[in-house]
Amino acid sequence: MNSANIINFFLFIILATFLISCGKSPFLKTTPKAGTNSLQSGRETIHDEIYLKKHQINISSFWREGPFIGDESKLLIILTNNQKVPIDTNGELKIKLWMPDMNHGSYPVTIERVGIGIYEVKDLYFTMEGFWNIHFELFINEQLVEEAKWGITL
Amino acid sequence: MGNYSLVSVLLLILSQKLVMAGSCCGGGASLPSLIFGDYQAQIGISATNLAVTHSANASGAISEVSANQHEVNEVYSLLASYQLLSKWQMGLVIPYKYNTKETFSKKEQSGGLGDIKISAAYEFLPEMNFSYYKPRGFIFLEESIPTGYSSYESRKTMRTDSFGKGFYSTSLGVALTKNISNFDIIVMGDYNYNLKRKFSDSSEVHPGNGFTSLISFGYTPTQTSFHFGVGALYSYESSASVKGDITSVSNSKYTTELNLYSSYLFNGFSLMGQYSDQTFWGQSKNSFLTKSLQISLMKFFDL
Repeated sequence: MNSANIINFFLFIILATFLISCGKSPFLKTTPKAGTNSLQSGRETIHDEIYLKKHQINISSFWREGPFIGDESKLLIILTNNQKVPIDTNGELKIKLWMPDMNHGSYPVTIERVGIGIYEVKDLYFTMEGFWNIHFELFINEQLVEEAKWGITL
Repeated sequence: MGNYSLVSVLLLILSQKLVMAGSCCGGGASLPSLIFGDYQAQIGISATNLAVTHSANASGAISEVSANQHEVNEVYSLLASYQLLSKWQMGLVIPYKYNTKETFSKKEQSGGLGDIKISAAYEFLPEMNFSYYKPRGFIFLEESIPTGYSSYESRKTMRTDSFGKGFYSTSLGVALTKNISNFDIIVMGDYNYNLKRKFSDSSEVHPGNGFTSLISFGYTPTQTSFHFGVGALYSYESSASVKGDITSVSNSKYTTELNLYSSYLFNGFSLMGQYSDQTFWGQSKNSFLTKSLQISLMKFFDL
């Protein structure tokens, strides 16, 4: 490599350095602001909206945190029978986030049992704006036996 | 160094610029790197800063992204093309991606190899004599290898560790160029076919197929080494489906893009800067939209 080539290479490196921004961009002038990350449309609760018909389980859900775009959101869910009495399932309840327009999901959701029929759902990450489905899936013997879903737009 | 050097630079830039998209979705369209000048080989490096500024929903309505979430992708690429025979050539693009997502309370960053692309091209319309109307034409085949972690394999909460599409992808296309006096025009188009793939969570993804088309106009001022150009690009991808615990069929998507570029030729090199804007034409659907800046340095090797 002759001296002209070396100069050209370093010229490029100097210019490229302006684009090495550690995640900053001239097209995003403001820094992320608190209070701008909130539900834009949808409902704050899904009380009595979700029903696993075959197993006659009502799922009432309440946002503990969020729903947020990007940050972690948390749900409290209460499973009840037709007499409105909290119950546990005889299987495993799984929750998945899914973005149908884009055809992808998100980070695995964590469900912690805090009492009979009461569960705290953590690690809900809506990674982008748009329409999301929250899938409530009931597994028995590792087989999906019933599913209900709730859609929200963020 | 003639106008074809400038054309080569533009196409090399486009070839690797288009491999980018938001980190969520990893993919995007691609056009191959081609040698359009009388050179044995060309190599280059580029740096791109790309920000997600808007989104287009499934009905085509465009809005600014949330003020609480910033997404920036930085891409550094090695580009190379080599002329094997007088009409046959092959190319290679190796991208490294560094994705950042930031909210008010959290920042996540990841870097990794993107999808490597290998291409071959045949010049089916050589320019033996000057003609006012006959273009120079190439047919090309490109294979994208899923060397980058995809959104289906992501393990981070904000999905910044998504660097590629996740599928083997084959593109077949045609490129036509024409230089007249100080002006040049490029028209390119390709059809893109993606192979289905089963991922570790047992879901089988049938990705959509699509096409990309590009038209670009350039101008070289007399007795200068500068070149200026403007281009328009349209990219379409059909709906995709997933089969597994969740069965889902996505919407199709398309984006339009404006490219403004300028380059300077010196001592067998070309230095190029480019601005790209997917919000300019206001016609996109079911996709995040970006604005980006890019600089590239190319070296040409004579035959």
